[in-house]
Amino acid sequence: MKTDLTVRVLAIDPFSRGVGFAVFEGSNNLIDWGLKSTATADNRKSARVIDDLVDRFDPDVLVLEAWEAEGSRRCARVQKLLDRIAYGERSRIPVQLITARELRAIGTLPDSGTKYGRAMLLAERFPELRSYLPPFRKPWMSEDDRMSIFDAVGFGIAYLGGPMVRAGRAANGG
Amino acid sequence: MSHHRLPHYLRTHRRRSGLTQAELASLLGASAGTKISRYESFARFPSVVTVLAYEIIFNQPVSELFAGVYDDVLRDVRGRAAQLAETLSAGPADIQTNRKLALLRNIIDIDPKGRIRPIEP
Repeated sequence: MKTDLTVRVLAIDPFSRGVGFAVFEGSNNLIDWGLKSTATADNRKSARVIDDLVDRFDPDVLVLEAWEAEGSRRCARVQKLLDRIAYGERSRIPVQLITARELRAIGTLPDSGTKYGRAMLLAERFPELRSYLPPFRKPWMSEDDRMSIFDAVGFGIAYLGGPMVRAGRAANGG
Repeated sequence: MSHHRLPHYLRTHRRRSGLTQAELASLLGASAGTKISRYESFARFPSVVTVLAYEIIFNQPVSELFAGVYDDVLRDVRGRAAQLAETLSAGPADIQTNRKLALLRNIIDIDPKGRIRPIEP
């Protein structure tokens, strides 16, 4: 495991009943990941969970989805939560926003690549995530909470760059 | 650029290995996973025996498993070594003192990966 001094990144992806997170120390070193449940769609509880994660990991950067950018489809509650985290009075660390376009630049998938395709790619890159990969989502199914982990990992990778992002940019002609 | 590593990476290694807290507890000879949870949340520090068991289980040196703690200890020991070297240098120089000073110089010069160069004769 690489433990040289490097940027520690906490990537957050709120979902309907909690928060998915991923912590990196460099693009190849995923040091923690998971879901923190809040049981209900409650922004106060979610904010508390994020505060706890910040206290625990003491990150240099907090990475979130750019909820105002084109391609983002977050509900009003999550938009409000993300806005509060990024611009709130209590924000203690620098925040970096990742757009849907930047997220699609991960790996060699074309722009039409699905969220599930990206999750599979990330599970391949980080074998420790394989057991968290949910079953393929059918049209009548709602999204599995575990996808939040993969979205958070994707935000972290998109921020840190590295081989997956370089390969994706080359494949997408960007 | 972060100038601090986490006190330890026990949770990272356990999760990468796929072990549950209960399974790791049984490997460490603990009765329940609660203890592991406390270690991993930095609420409690494991004993020397447990630390060595961690090294054996994850096949990682203690200085890597407890990277942040190691950094703190290294900084403190280096500072004390520099002080002691200063004190010894002020005294009479004999074979024994030179030997001690060589050891202290090696401590002060430990590279970031924690390797101590062998003491020169």
